[in-house]
This record gives sequence, structure tokens and C-alpha cells, in this order.
Amino acid sequence: MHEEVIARNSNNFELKKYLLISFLLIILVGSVILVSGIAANNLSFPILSTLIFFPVAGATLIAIIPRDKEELIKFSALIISIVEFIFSIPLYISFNKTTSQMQFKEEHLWIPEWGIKYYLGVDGISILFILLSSLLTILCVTVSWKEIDRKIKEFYAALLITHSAMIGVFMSLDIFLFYIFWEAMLIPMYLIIGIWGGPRRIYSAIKFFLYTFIGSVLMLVGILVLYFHTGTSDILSLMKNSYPYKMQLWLFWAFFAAFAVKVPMWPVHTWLPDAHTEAPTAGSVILAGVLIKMGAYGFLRFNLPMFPEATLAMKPFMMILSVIAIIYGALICLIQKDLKRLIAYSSVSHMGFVTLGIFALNQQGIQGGIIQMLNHGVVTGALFLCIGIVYQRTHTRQIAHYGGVATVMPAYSAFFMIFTLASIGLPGTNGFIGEFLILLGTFKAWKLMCILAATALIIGAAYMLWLYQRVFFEKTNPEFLQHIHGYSDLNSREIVTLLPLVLVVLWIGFYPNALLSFMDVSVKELINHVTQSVGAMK
Amino acid sequence: MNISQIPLQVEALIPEITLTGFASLILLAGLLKLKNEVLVWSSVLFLVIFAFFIPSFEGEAFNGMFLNDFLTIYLKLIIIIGTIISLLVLTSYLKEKLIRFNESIAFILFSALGMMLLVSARELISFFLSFELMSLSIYVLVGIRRYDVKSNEAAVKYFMLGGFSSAIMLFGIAFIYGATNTTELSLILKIISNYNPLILIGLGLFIVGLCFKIALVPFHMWAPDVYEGAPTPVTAFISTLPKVAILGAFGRVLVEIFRDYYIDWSNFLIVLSIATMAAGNFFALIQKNIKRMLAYSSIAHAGYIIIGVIVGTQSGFNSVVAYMFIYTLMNIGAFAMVIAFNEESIENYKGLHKFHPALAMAMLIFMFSLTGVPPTAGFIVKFNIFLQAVKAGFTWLVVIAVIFTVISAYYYLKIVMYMYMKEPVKLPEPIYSRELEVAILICTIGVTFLGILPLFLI
Repeated sequence: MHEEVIARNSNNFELKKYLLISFLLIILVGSVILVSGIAANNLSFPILSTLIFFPVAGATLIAIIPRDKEELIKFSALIISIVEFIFSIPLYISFNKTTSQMQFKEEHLWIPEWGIKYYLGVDGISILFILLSSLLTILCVTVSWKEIDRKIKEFYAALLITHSAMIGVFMSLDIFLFYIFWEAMLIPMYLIIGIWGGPRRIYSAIKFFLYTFIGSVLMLVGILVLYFHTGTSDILSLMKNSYPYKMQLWLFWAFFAAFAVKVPMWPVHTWLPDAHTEAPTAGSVILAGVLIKMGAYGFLRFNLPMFPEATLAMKPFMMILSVIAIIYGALICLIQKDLKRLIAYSSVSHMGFVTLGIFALNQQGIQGGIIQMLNHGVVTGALFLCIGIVYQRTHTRQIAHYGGVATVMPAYSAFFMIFTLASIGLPGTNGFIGEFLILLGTFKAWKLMCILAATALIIGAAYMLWLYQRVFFEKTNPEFLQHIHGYSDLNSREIVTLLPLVLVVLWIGFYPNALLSFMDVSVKELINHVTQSVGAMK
Repeated sequence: MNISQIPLQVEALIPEITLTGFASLILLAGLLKLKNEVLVWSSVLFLVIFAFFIPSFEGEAFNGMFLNDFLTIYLKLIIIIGTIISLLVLTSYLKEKLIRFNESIAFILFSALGMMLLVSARELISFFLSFELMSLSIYVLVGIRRYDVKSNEAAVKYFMLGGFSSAIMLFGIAFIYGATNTTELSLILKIISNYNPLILIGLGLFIVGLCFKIALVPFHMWAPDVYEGAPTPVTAFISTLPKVAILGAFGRVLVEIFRDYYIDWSNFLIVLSIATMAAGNFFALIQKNIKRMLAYSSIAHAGYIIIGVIVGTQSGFNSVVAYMFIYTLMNIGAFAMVIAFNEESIENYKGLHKFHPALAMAMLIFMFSLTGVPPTAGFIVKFNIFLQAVKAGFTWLVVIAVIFTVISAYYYLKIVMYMYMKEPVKLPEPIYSRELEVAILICTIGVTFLGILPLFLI
């Protein structure tokens, strides 16, 4: 009797599945047509606004779907995220790589009394993050398929809104709009960590919120001062302005407060291990993949071009902080007992490389920093996905509970290996490109720091390979076998989730120019701008 | 001059006269045994129509003693919108607790009348009288649950301290009169430019009276007890609209009339503002009763609002008015949620999302708006005040204010956390009614929509 019900349900479910898949195909084909239409139309279409508001509309749609239609909710989220990704492809195709100007600009007056505009645009520095975010959002949806089992509706809505707010941050060309997106992102992320996270999720969520919030509000004061000094909130005109040195210092610190917390730089990094560890897999992926990149992006977009003198004065300090983060993060990784926590601390180390590269203030350093951000997004995102996949089977994250996984889950082990090597920075993977460029840039700027940072590469190899050894090799842990009971290797959904990231890892690893060419001109322009304005002031 | 020769020019006063008539009618309607819903919805309908006509009564009356200009009309509209929402919120509560409708509605209307007169008053005696009309109606409202000890205690406490503060204020008015020989604000403005210690004393007492009513620290002692003891809809009413009226009136008097004494009163208010933000936020952190928590939070909000007055410019004052509009929406909204959930202990908010996702969502919006997180309207108006403060060179004060904002995030988020992230401890017994739902809907839409498109706020 019971089985009958199940059979009937599954029949029903199959039918629905086919219906949904066909629906999905229709939407896909439709959007491909739309995309080609947009591309042919030379992009007079407000593509950036579409990218921001489509997921919001999607989240609203999901909110309307009745709570018990879980499959429908999941499929809608998947379709929405895929369509969103397809929408972002024209950006990649028709982006003009030969100019450092903002592209796909949209400008509307929003609050006329204050001269605040709804002003969007992307350049070589920001465009890739939008693509990365769109890609990771799809993977977040698929990886959460089974993991998220309560308040499904809210979860996918929050995920899509987070994505919107994050790409909004990268697109904003108005400092006020930037702040709105910057803060709006906190609400869904707070909920994602706090509702669907692990055992200490509430503590982590509040810690995450308060840390980020205090940084942001100090930046808000900075924004207000900036706004009154210049009378405009347009980021591009703010960059062209020059500010008195003392003011630059104050503003540098105000913005530093927000960005350093977000990156996170040592010593304000403590929210990150907690948030990463306790967040659900999708939350960790979003956090590691895109969210913490907003901090480094902020340094590139605000601190460097707007306060060049202060940046130059603070360069040694920032580089020292970065190197501390690199070495400290790596050392802490060696003693971690928790899989996710280890990867979280490795993020601190890797983001240290990013800020090190940025504050080396030369072409290689900054390009390396941006590449490293993308790499870290892909690789750490992938590692979190992998951990999420195995956690779902075993419900433990303790390294000691694993061992000999390679014999039980060979395909999984292969995937994990690729990402481990990418994380270490093996040539041929994307990790190598970023770290190499950063070290090159740092060597030019400050040799000692380069040498210190390079030592962390060895520690990095040590903790990642040791982790791999303990989890995948050695004797099969009976406890693990007990937990894994009834499960097997990766299923097709999981392979589809991980495969794109493997491709990206290898693609960037062998052909970094695919990404470097995007940012070449923009970074050159940025460095010119910094050196020129410093020169002009002297 | 013979008094009868002065033209009265009562046209600008017609809305207030109409409201007086209507409130009296409602009071009499108790004799007719009308249905409660009829009373409520007819009052709401009246106020909606009323709101539409108010902007057309711009002008002066009684030789400039009564002024109806753009700002006062804006303030009156806030008061009317707030009153409408309060009436809607009140309905389900009165039904639940079997309290007589007509009296409550009439007193709310009389109190709103007092507020409207207060923001328009340009003369100190009428100022005081309208102030008292507003206050006395509120004292009655606080004690409307006649057989409830807490409600009675709150009413007596409020009455005693309120009377005390009124006396202090009256004393201040007397000093100002003694120094200037007039109670007309326009005449005071002409005389005031030569520095007079009597005016300073009068102004000091005047401000103390004001601080009592808007509960600035250290004159806030009554607020948590009264807010907790009063029936929740009345708390929603008294924690918002009197502040709108008083700050709207006093702030304007300070900014426009006493600008020669700017240094004196602004320094005084800066100290109070910091003390208020500190005490309000810190005490709110440790509250276990949500009404008390919201009481302290509204004390803290008065601390932010007063920054807009401290700035001392017209645009600063406008930012105060805008803040009060959104503050009214979100605070009444939050109290409406307390009524809807029918639950005062914060502990019992655990897991409410499971039972009432829509209500929890609305509460979440109000909490984030009270914190001042974009894209809610709470952010826009807070930003507006900070903007004006930075413009006037009070950057350090803004830094202090934003740090207290972060502290406030903790207790607002605690509610969100309890609702969404904890397992329920108790089955909620919510009070639903159409009126309450309409009220919550108005507040939610206002707070979100105006956060994205800040019309009428700047």
C-alpha cells in the first residue's frame, strides 16, 4: 500500500519532470534567440538592468509558487539562473577589449534632488565577476537540490536576490547605488547562513552581519564626505577629482574599513571561517566565489583611483597586512580538523595574495590580483561544492572521520584532485597564473614580501596535499563506510555541477589570455591614473 | 485698534474645525449603538477624504498666529496617515479586549487634532494649548483598559510626568514672554536678536519640556513603562505621532525663530542626542519584552532624528520631517506585528516564520528598515539625516550615530533570527482582522516602495 503510493507519486513526478524539462528547453531556445537578437541590435538593450532585475523578478515568481510544489520551485530556480547566465553571455561576446571606458552604460536620474543617478556600466575589471557570479549561481542551485530540505522557497529566492545585489555592486557607477547594493546583499546572505547553515549558524550569521555592517557604515560616512567635497556621486567624476592629502588618508581608512572586512584582511578576518563553515554549501560558494571579491574590487574601484597618494603612503602597510594574512592563513590551515574550516582559512591566505598583488601597484600585480580573485572564486567555490557533496552523504566535516574515500568514490576523488592542484597553484591550472603574476608584481615592488609570500606556497601545498591524503588515501575509515552506506559515487547532477568548473580551471590555466585580455587596458589605465595623479600632486 | 475690526481669516483653519466636528460626532455616536466596523471605517473614510483636501487650505489665520504652509501640510499629512493606520490597528485589539470603540476613536481623533494645531501654531499660548489637547487625549488613551492594572499605572505615570513637563515648558514660555513681552513667534523673532539671559533660561526650560515628550535621555524614564503598559495599538500611536508633531513644531521653532541662540541649544541637544542614542540602544539590547525593546528603540530613534534639528538648517529640518514619515510607518508597522502575533515576550517569537511566513516577512522588513539597511526606506531617511549632518560639518557626530546603528542591528536582527532561525517554542495565537492586514500592508508597501523610489521624502 505504502509502496503503491510511492510508485504513483514517482510516476506523477516523472511526468512533471518531463514537462518541466521541455519547458526548460523552450525557455533556453527562446533566450538564445533573444540573445542573438540583442547581439544583432548592437546592445541598445538595457542588458545590465536586465541582469540585475531578472533574478529579482524570478525570486518574486518563486515566492508565488505554492510551498508544497517543491520540484517546481527548484526547476524554476534552475531555469531562472540558466537564463540569467545566458543573458550575461552577450556581455562577454560584445565587450570591447580595446578601451578602458565603461561599456553597456545605462544612466537615469534616480534621486534628482541629490543628483543621484541609477548609473550602470562595466569595464575590464568588473565584467568577469558578473560572468563568474552567474555561473556560480547555477551551480549553487544544482548543489542545493537535495541539501536544502526546508523553507525551499525562501532559499532559492534569497539566493537569486543575493546574486542580483552582488552583480549590482560590480556594475554600479554611482557611489550611492553602489552602497545600496553593497548593503542589500547582507539581508539575503544573513538569512542564507542563519536559516540553512550548520549547528553554529546563528552565531556565524550575526557575526557576519555585524562585522560587515560596521565596515559598511564607516564607508557610508566616507561616501558622504566624498559627496560633499565634490558635489557628485558619480564614480567616474569622483575618480577624476583630486583630494587634499589629509582627507585622502581619512577616506582611505573609511573605505578600508568596509573593504578590508569584506576581503577579509588580517586581522578582521575572523568572521570568514565561521561564516564559511556554517553556511550551507551554496552559501559558502557564493561567499567564497563572489562576495568576498567585492572587497578587493572596492579597493580597485575606490581606494586606488580616488586616493592615490594615500594608497602610495599605505602601500607598505597594506602589503605587510597581506603577507601576514597569507602566512597566517596557511599556517592555521595546517592545524584544522574541519574540512570546511580548512578551506575557509585557505581563503584568507589566497585573498592575502589578491590584496598583495593589488597593492604592489603594477600591471602584473593588479592583473594577477584580479585573475587570482576569479581563480579563487572558481577553485574555492568548487572545493566547497565538493565538500558539500560528501557532507550530504556522511553528515560530518571532521577530517578524522574520513579516509580511503578514493576507493569508494573514485570519480569524486578525481575532481577533488584537480581542484586541490589548482588551489596549490600547479602550472597548467588557473591557480598558477594568478599566483605567478602576483609574485612577479610583488617582486618588482618589494622583494622581501615576495619571498615571504612565496614560502606560503609551500605551506599551501603541504596543507592541501596532506588534506587530500588524509581524506582520500590511507586506510578506509570504518566510520566513513558506515556513513556512506547506501550512497555511491557522484550522480549525474553532481558531475554536471562540477564539470564546468573543471573546464574553467583548465581553460584559464592553459589560455589565461582569455581573461587577461579583458582587463589589460583597464588595468593599464588604472595604473596610469594612479601614477599620474600622484605625479600631479607632487 | 478695535478687536472686532481685525479680519479673522479662518479659512486656513477649516480642516481643523471639520475634524473637531467629526470627532465630537464619533463621541456622540456611542449613543446610537452603531456597529464597531461602521465607526472605524467611516472615520478612516473621513480621514482619507480629509487628507485629500488638506493641501488646498494653505494660508494663515488669526493674523499669522496659525500658519498652514507646505511644511505644516506635509506634517499634517503624516499625522493623518499615521492616524488612519493607528485606527486600523486599533480595531482588532479593541474587538479582542472588548473595549468601547467610540471613545477610543474619538480620543485618537482629538489627539490628532491637537497635533495638527500644534504644528500650525505660531504663537506660544496656542502652542501650549494644542500641546495639552494632544497630551490629555493621549493620557486617556493610555488608560483605556480600565480594569488593567498595568494600563492604569502607565496612564497615571504618563499623566504625572507629562503634567510636570508641561509645567516646565509653560515656565519657559513665561520667561520668554517676560523677556520679549509677546508670545507671537513672528514678533519674538524680531526682538530676539539682542542677547538676553532670560530668553536663554526660557529656551532651556522650553527644550526640557520638549525632551520629556519625545523621551530624550535623561528625560526618558517614563517611556518604557508607559509604552509597555499602554494597550499595544496606543503604544504604536504614542510612540510615533506625538513625536512627529512635537519635533515638527519645536524643531521648526528652534531652527527658524531661535537661530540666534543656535550655539546654545545645538550644543545642549548634541549632548542629549549622544546620550539618547547610547542609552536607547544599549538598554534595548537587554530587553525581553518586545514592547519594551521597541520603546527603547524608539528612544534611540529620537536620538538620530534630533541630529537633523541640531544641523540647524532648513534642509536639515526637512530631513527630520522625512525621517518621521518613514519612522511612523515602520514603527506602527512593527507594533502592528506585535498585535498580530499577540505575543509580547521576545522568546515566543521563536519559529514564527513556520506558522506565519507572510507576517514574518513583514516583520523582517520592518526590522531591517528600523536598522536602516537598504533597500528599505529606513535607510533612505537615515541617510538623508546623515547627509545633512555631514553637510553642516558634523561628520564626527555621524560617525557616532552609525556606530550606534550597528549596535542597534543586533537587537533588531535578534527578532529576525528568532522568527526564522529558531525552532518554535509555543504555538502562536495570532489576532487576524481585515483592518490589521490592511494596516500592515500599507506600512510594508510604504517602507519598501519608498526605499526604492524615495518620492516625497527629500
